[in-house]
Amino acid sequence: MAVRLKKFGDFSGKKATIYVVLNELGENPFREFAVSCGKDYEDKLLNFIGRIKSIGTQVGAIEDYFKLHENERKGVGDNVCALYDVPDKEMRLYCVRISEQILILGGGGPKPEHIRAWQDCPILSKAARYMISISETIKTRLQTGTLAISDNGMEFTGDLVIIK
Amino acid sequence: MAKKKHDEDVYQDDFLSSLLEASAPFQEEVDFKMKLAAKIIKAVRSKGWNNTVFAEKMEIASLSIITKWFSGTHNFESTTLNKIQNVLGIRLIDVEMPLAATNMTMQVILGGQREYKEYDELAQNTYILIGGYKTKAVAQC
Repeated sequence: MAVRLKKFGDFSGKKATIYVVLNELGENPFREFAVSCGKDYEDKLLNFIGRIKSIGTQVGAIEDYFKLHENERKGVGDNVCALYDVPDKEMRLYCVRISEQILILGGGGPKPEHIRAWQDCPILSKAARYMISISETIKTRLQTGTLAISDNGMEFTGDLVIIK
Repeated sequence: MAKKKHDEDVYQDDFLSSLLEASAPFQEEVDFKMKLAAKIIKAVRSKGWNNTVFAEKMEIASLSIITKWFSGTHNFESTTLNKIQNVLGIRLIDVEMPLAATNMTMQVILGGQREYKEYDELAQNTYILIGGYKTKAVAQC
């Protein structure tokens, strides 16, 4: 199924461009994550939303804001990171952080206390592995030149359909 | 090399927009915490320090505390902020009273005479107090 990157207008700003990943049906993992939070995690979701807005408009995607290197194997999906709630650390939102100026939002979900790593949770595994595959595809596309980063570093240029 | 821009590829979603509206009342507070963390992080990195070195300088045993500070979500105590700004040599909180709200009195000795000068910032006047009399100072060139 074809997958494309789309700039997220509401969240992007002068500091960073925020992207979502859409399939042919218009589904994207970030929206699914937001819906799945429901009332139980509404406060945490709204805090995530505010922080993503702040990243786009005020501060950029500084790497210290994220839990880094959520990859399975060293060198594969190194750009995959997770936004998490503090201090509880009950939630994970997986992203691909290309730079301080470009961030791609994926999906995620609650991380139960007994879960040590995302590999132990089916929902988190699905979300993390999907973003690792997106990260690897983007890396390849940037290397082949069919996808590029604009001169000011703020956005992707080229064919944003990253999986045909 | 791909150059074509895709400005038409902007995603909008009513549900997510409604969440953004719901979080708007807290946005200023979120922005403040994120910017505060960013200022500390940039100052630490500009010194060439990693989190371990910064923790040592702050005399903190646990690296997880530094990670928490840098997450952009932490509520700092003023004593912690004061220590951070002293360690990093930056200003994070400004507790000085604005000059306009103060009257300054200076003791000066001119030609062996002890005088008191008082500067009223609000009135933009300098007064010289000699022998109990308050006299407006006039600049002479």
